[in-house]
Amino acid sequence: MSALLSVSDLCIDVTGSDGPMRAVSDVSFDLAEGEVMGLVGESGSGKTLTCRSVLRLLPRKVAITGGRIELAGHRVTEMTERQLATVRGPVGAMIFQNPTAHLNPVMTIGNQIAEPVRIHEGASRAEARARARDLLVQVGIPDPDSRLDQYPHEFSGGMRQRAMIAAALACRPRLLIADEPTTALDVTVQAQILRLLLDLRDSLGLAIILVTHDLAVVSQTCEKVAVMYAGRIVESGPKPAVLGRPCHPYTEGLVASQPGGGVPGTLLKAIPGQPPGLSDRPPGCAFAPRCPIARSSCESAVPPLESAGPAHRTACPHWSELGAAA
Amino acid sequence: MSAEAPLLQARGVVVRYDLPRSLGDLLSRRPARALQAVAGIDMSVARGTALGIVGESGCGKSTLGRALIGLQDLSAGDVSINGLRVSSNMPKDRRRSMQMIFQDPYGALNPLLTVAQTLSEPIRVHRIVPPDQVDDRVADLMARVGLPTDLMHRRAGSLSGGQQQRVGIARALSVEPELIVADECVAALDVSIQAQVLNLLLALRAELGLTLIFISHDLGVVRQVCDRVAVLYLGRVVEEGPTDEVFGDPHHPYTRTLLAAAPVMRPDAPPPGPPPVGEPPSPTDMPPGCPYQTRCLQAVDACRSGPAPPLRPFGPRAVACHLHDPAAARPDAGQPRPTEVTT
Repeated sequence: MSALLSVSDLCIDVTGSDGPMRAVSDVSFDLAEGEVMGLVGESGSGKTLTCRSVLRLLPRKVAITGGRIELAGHRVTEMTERQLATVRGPVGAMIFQNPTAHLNPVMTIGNQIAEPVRIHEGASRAEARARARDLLVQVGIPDPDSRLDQYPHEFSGGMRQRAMIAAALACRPRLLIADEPTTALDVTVQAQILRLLLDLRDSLGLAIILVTHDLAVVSQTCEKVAVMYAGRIVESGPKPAVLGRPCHPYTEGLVASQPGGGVPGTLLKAIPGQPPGLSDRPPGCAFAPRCPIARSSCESAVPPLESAGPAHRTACPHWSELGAAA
Repeated sequence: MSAEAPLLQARGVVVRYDLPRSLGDLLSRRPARALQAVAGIDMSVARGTALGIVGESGCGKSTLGRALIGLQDLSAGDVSINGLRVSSNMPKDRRRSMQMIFQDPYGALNPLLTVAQTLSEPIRVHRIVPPDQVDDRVADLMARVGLPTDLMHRRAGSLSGGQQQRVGIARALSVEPELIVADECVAALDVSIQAQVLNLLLALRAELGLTLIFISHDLGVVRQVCDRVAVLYLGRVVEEGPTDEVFGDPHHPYTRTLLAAAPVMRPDAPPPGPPPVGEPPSPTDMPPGCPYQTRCLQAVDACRSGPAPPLRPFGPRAVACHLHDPAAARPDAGQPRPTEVTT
């Protein structure tokens, strides 16, 4: 099966006051139709830039400087803004952490969902409104007829996130990029939104990139996982393998530092130190300064990704020592 | 529980916020409306233990935390620490024994002050040590929370989030408090840093015998840190007890829902099951009867009218549910209970 989305050797630069700095380096991954991939990392790891670049939704002063992105046959990296407009919406769509900031406060929910349908498909007002109503039903908003004419401030946080999902689905995309979609929500509402995303995957064959820092969410929803650290994918593969038998010391550290699993009152296995900033990334493996199994060779060159099992790749050349250490 | 009096005792705590009245309300003589953030909570915290307060946003957990240490005026009820009444205008030597750590470490620090200034100010104001020893004391505090001393003359803005939170913790410790209220103190931190800060709190608690009130929406974090846990829903405690018992065998339907909804990291985790229904009602528009009845799948007619069910104790625990039968709920009633942590 050919991939719906194929990202290869993606590099992204951020221009600061000291000139351009590399924020994302050599990121590659594939995603098939109907697949859910978790993109995991801490703040500053480059996960949001990576997923935004798939639809070229990058802020000013941030530019793709290398690599290729192919989405459903479109070469996203080489398209003009005008061409991109045919991809954003009908092929790929995105939802964000904070729905309040991404919904227009002075436009009714119904019009916001109907607008892309009218623009992309040239639908009439009535057709677009009917589609918006169907979408509200599909994302589980009760009483859709009166909800269509309400404004975002009349919705609760969970309902706003549902409305944003409805607007993203308006043009029947094949890929949904969800950037921390449940981070701002309570656990009970988070469970509702995650269930909704998985139901949409099942009913529409939607592929989903779920960007999150929460391994527990990934473990419940994703088939495969890519872990990012300091702008690179350090480990990727099927979820049971990556979380069950981590082959990179960073992933292993993240899994071990999850609170709540161990005996109450006992210390967690925390990763010492902190991730490097954009300007002070070390020349070799960026995790080496915090790594329990690092050696001098780790500090000289960036280790390439190597195979650690079926479809399982790690950027640690010493991964075979990890199982033994645990 | 031992015979020793609890460090903190709260009785019937109510915090009500008056909502603004519009001109229309005044003209039509509608009564003033109020939002009851905390609706009558009794609570006692034994010395040296950690109590977790969990619940969804808007359930009143932050308001309760502030009310317990006198940062929030009570509308009714009273709180005492060491037998002395807590109020928002108590003298500073009483205030000293209770401190708070906030969620947003940067927002809680003065950006114009260096780390040393931030930490030395409370030491001077409360005359913890003679003036010539303040600098040594600051260095001790920084070492204790794992801050390298070369950060002493840096301002908050140039520190990382984890370092800022360590400064917040050091500042709370600077006046040698007995009780610390930590309000979502790791929610803003990255996972790998979160574990470091939790470890620091656990170590400090063991070392200094601190009493901790730990407010969090993250059940995993509470499970790791707290001996006892209180589950809040719309301003009321619906279940309370030793953490391992409440999490291992929840009795209130809301606690069960909350635990089922919280994702758990397991490599072979199945997809999430059917999610909980609905969202909490607005605290300005409370349903009659049990506050949870609008979402409860077990609710019967008795739950839909009358007063909210009281928090009824059974063993070391307590549950506020009309349908709860302590006798039926404890099949192992005759068996020895796991060792209690709340001496």
